Amino acid sequence: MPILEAQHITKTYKIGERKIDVLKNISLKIEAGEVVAIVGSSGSGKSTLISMLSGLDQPTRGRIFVESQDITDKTEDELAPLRNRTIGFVFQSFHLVPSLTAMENITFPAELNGDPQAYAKAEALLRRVGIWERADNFPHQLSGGEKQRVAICRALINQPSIIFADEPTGNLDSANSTEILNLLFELHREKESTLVLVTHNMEIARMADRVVPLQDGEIVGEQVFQPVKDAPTFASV
Amino acid sequence: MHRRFAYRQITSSPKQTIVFVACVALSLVTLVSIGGFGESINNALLRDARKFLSGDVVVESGFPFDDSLINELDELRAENGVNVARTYEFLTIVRVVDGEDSLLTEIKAVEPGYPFYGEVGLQSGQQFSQVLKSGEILVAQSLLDRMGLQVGDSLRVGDLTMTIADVVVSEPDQPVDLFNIGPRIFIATSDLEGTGLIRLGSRVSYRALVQVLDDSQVDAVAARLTASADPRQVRVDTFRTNQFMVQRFFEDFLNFLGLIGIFTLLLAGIGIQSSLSSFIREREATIAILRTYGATSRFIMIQYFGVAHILGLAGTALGLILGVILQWSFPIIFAPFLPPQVEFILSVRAIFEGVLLGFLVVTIFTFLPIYQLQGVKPRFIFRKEASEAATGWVFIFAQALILLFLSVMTFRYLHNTLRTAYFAVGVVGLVLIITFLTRAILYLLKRRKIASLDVRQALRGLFRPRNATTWIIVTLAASLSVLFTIYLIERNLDASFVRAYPEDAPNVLLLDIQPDQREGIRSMLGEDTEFIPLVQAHIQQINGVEVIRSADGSQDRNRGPNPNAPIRIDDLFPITYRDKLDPSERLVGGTGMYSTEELGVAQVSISEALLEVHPFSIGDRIRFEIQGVPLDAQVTSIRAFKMDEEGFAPAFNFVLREVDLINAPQTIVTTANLPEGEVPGFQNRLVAAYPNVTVIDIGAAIDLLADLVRDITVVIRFFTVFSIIAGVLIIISSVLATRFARIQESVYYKVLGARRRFVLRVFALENVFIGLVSAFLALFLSQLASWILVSQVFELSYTAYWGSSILLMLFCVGLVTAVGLLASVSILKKKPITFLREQSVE
Repeated sequence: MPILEAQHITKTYKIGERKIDVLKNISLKIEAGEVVAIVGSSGSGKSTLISMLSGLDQPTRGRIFVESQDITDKTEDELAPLRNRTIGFVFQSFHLVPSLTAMENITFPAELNGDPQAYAKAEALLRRVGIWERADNFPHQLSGGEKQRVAICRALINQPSIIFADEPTGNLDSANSTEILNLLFELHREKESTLVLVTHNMEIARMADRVVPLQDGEIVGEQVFQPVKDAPTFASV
Repeated sequence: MHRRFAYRQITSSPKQTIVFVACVALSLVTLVSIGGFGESINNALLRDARKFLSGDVVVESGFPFDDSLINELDELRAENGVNVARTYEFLTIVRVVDGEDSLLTEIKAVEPGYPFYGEVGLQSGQQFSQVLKSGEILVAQSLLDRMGLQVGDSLRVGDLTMTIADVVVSEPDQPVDLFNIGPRIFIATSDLEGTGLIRLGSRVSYRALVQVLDDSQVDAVAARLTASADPRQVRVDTFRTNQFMVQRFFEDFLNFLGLIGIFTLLLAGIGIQSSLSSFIREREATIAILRTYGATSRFIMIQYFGVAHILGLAGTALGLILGVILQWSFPIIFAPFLPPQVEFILSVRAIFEGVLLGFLVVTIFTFLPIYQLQGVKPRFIFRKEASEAATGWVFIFAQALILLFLSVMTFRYLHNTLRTAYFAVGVVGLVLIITFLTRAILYLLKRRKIASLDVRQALRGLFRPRNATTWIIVTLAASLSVLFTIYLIERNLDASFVRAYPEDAPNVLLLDIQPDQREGIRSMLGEDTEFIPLVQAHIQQINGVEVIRSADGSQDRNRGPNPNAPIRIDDLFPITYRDKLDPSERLVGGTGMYSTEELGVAQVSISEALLEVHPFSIGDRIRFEIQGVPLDAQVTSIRAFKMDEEGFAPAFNFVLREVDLINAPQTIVTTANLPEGEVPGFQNRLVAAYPNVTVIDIGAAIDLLADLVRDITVVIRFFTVFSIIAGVLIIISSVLATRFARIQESVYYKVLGARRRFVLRVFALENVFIGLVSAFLALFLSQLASWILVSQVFELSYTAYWGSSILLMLFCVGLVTAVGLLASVSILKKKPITFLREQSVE
């Protein structure tokens, strides 16, 4: 039983009189614990695909299933528990709430969930990613690498079954990129979650169990690699 | 100025543009409407100045004219081109002939010739001079309605039975029926003596109207009359110099409303500053790009100065239009006060002033945000760095400019430097105090650890960069504190004077009792009735030093150290005589009220309150003058009034022995407490026996006063509401300025699993906090100010009206939350993916 399944999804945008098919009849199954890299050049539709799979956006046609649950037509409010408990997001632009400290950004999803251990869990995560001393800093006081560490901690605090990472190193220098990817893969292994990674970097994609290449909104031949569990950590990306 | 650039700047943020324009319009609307209205009123009153005076020169006194004045009037009467008509106005009770009904009325006895200008409008349409004959009276319709009479019926006026000949519809010298206690009755002076209503000591307004056909001689005639009149008790005015009561009332009232308009202007100015700052901050990236390509800060400042003034011009036009529309609604708002036949003019002067005012408002209040543009550096392209607020001399200069502008505006209304300084410092002080308190509260809130997630998020929202939290609270708290202070003072005055009137306190006042009528009235009211004699006296000398009239209101305490300098003191005092202390009094100086020894002069006991006017001491000699007769008296004691004593004994500054004053011209008054409903019956019986005695129903008079106060406060509240709109505009401006941050928060909350309800709750709570802090500060300041005014200045007991206070808090919280949420609707609707996509495109 796949943890995530897309059935014949198409996404069409209307720009003025023009209709643009960003995704064209895509079907995809992702198993629990798998690491899947969606790769493609700019404009290939990879970010659109991840937003459909994660329920951030709705396809024009086709259906999306998360843990066998059809999320295609769910409203924002109906999707809220799914986003809070089942899915974790890591974005290229971090998307930390500027008015909250690093600690508060991380505890936020857990507190929404009513978790009394939110602070203890956040502390453990911050220590795990090595920025505990930055707990009380606001996003504008953090470096890019530190922001992405905070974003990863926030994505993991409710122990979601699926983590979506959209170009997680896109805004980072190479040293930070390596550290962040190592961290992401380590934490994925520790938490036994499913990782769906969007990247245009084939070096990174090769570390996944499976690569889904996208071109002009269509999957153009999947590649399956060695399971990431057995793969070495990144030396440099 | 680069026209295309300016056009793009204006059209790129239509909502911010609208808020800016609305703030400019708001800053002008009340002042423009009040200016135009004031000019309409003044035009009406000046145009008809002769009519309102009924003559070219008027001589007025509360005392019978003395011989020299009467001789001068007779001489003028004999001259060609000069006409004289005397009038006598007083209160009296009239009664029906074949029954007991009676009514307090205002009699006006007029000589032939009155009015020289204007007309007394009669229901029949006939000429006043032809209808008013001896034995006949002309009455107001309300008298007929209240007494069930009609034209042709008879009425007892004093000792005469007179026929009602017609109904008075209007009188030229009384355009507004504002301060009248009873309906008007006109009688001819030839009947005056027959009524027996004017006796020694009666309270009568004596007037002589003089018509001078040669306009150039008006001032000369006035000068002749002034020279022959006693300046301490007679006032001579021409139609050019006279400011009658209605005119003074409107001038004072409109000046007060003008001050509220200036207060609104200041708050709207804060809105202008806040919305332009937000408008400019949104364009910092654009400005940084322009700087990268070589634009100088001067070029950029000129562009935005131009943009601000184009928008300012639109705001000025809107303000003028709304001001004129508002002015058209004034006949409804000012209905209880308005003179008839006021033509509402579209004042060119008011419009010109409005345009100039709009330009000044925009220039002064946008100075600081535009100056700060030079702080936007090209490097802002690379980093999300905000420009720094101006500090140092530029900030001080900007604030000083605003203070100077407010002071000049205030001086235009008050024409008094000291009062202007009080007002300007008061208003700026209020804003500064609220700003300080707001910052202190926000500082405490920021440091507080909050367990609840949504409350914590809401509090964090208050400190969102670009949020105008402080200015929203300052404007709302300032406007609400003024509004609520007015409300609390009105309620307290109402409670102290109207509702708190004790049941056992006197409810009727009997005036103009003659000495020989005392026993008869005592038999009607009871043995314990106390009669209070009233004698009008001037103070001529104190310890041999002349007292001069305190025409400018300054009292003796400003006199300086020279012992021989003339003493300034209000010169006319009602004095009385009695040989013992009233139960409401106690001695604070002297061994007894009077000396047991004869001092060779009269003896006088003075009130402690008088020491604030002049440093009297025991043994001082005071020379009184009572209708031309000097009376020397020595101060023998000083009395104070017991504040906790119930009762309404009149507080006299000077009390003499009966033996010293018994023969002076006097009027006698008394009070009585009658069961409710018996006042009319008593009045009927009294007036049948003593036609000259006037009965005033204190309850009815207090109700009349309360109605007037209520009408005035309704108008004041109406104008104060405009200042609240400034707060509302700043809320909208703040939401627009922080739109990006709010969408960002909303989207992030949703992406992390928050429901729409949570986001709504956080935004609502944020506004609830703003509303609560504003209301709390408004309440605190209004309660403090009202307490000081009511208990310390008016010396009345103070009630806080907590029920209304809670309503104010609810109103404030409701208003802020509703406006804040309405302005955030589009933000709440924004889908996460749309925002995230926009961000990734960037």
